Amino acid sequence: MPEKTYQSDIKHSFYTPNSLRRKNIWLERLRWASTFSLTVFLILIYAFKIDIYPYASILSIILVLTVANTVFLIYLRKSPPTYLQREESIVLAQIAGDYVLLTALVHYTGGIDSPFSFFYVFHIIIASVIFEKKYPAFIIAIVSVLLYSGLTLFEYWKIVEHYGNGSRAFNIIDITFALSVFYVTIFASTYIGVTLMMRHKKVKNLIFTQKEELEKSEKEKMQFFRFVSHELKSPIIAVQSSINVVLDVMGKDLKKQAKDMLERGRKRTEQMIEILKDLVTISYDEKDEDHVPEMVVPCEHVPEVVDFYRPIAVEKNIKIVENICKQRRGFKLDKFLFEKIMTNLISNAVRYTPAGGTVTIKTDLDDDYWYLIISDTGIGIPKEEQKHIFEEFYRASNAKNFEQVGTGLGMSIIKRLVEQENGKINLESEVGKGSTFTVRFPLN
Amino acid sequence: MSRKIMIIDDDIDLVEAMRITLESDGYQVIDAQEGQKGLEILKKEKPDLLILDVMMGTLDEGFHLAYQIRNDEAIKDIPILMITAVGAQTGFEFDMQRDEDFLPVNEFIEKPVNPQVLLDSVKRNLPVA
Repeated sequence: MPEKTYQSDIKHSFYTPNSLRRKNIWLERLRWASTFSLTVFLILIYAFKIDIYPYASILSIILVLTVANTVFLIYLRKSPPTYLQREESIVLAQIAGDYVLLTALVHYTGGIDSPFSFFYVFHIIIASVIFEKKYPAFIIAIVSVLLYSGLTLFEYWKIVEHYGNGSRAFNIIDITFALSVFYVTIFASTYIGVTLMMRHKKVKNLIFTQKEELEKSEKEKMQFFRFVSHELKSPIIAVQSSINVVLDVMGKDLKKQAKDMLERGRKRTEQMIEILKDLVTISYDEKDEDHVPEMVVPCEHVPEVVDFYRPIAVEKNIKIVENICKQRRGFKLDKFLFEKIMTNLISNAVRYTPAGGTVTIKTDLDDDYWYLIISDTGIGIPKEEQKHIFEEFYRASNAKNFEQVGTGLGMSIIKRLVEQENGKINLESEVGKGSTFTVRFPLN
Repeated sequence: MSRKIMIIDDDIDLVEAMRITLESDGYQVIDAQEGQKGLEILKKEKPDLLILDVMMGTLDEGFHLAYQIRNDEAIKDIPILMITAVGAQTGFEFDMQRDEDFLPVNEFIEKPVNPQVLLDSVKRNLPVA
């Protein structure tokens, strides 16, 4: 099958080959349940000596079911799903096989008197759920009607033997009545199943379309963000550069008051540049960036980021404690994003820790995750504010007092980046004692 | 004789800020606001060092220019400091800084330019007279 069909299947179909495969496996499991029930049924009629049914024939149906389903199980596990039509054919093959065996079972358990005749309905419901179009469910309904009517009439005409002690099998009025009820049941079920499913599909399509629209507008919003922040950056950078020159190059000729005012101006432009940088970062949509995750051994990158912050920490009289990261385990990760996450966490820790404090960087590994744990002896985050800390533009009340400049975007960026890499970030903090941020990434 | 430094940047205010900084330290400064014009002046004046903006008209005009300079026998040895505001957001800077063979420039300086950083960087990269 050409690749193109496979692609268009995914786009327009209610199912994908993978989701239909799951349905196929589900059918196979249901069949194990029915095989088991049938075995219990056989044991019971044997135990209670109900000898109107041929034990050997029912046993052989169970055996055929077991063998066929085992073969099927192996096939489903060994051969991966490829395209939709193939999965649909597998569903059809399952239904066809089941109908043959079900008709045999109905035959051996009394034909028109068989308690199993209503089992034909199951497959009609399954077909109405699984098939994209309405007609397969109706075709299956017709097949079940033909099979059941054929069996009943063959028994009536004595073409095949009738099992059981009922006389209904040979009374044409009883047969007509029973078959009519059967037809109504079958076609009503088909109609109900198909109608419900169509409605369900419509709703799902609607949700899908709306989701696409939302994503599109979100993307446009981010592009606008990015455009605006790039545009704003150039002038503010020119402003800051000019102030820098006045203060740093000609500062000695300035009055103290003028110097102070320019210092204030420099602080505020710095703040604005930080905000703009954060806005640019936040506006980069993971989907339109081609950061390709590669195999990364994070322990190879931890020391360089830590070393970068050492001088800044020393200047603030903060100790950086780093446990030596030994794990050689690598996993798929975007190296750039990982470094950005680390950089942001460490710089935050250093920023909100008073002089004399400690920032500790640890890493850990278990069977499923790799952990990066960054703790500080800083100002901490009040309990009631912790849940907001990852929200955009949120700054904890004590953070504002401690450090005037800050955008409130840092933590939301970190969270975004972590989640982009399928990781999780977790915070433990106590005011006055410090904070611990734990980031974990799945190894697979 | 004072050393000659050339600035190519389309933001006139940034050029001015850098000029004052550099002149305060005794350098002679020439400038151009546009790449190709800059290249001409560069060839004629042969400054001791070039300060180049990464983004001018297009996203990476500065880079192209740097390549052109490196491939021109007459001027290929002029040290280049590249000023950039691309910074953290694209992932750009990280990779480039590591892959030094690939780099046509000597050093990156991030915008907004801090006068002391600029002067230190210039001093570091100026060829010994």
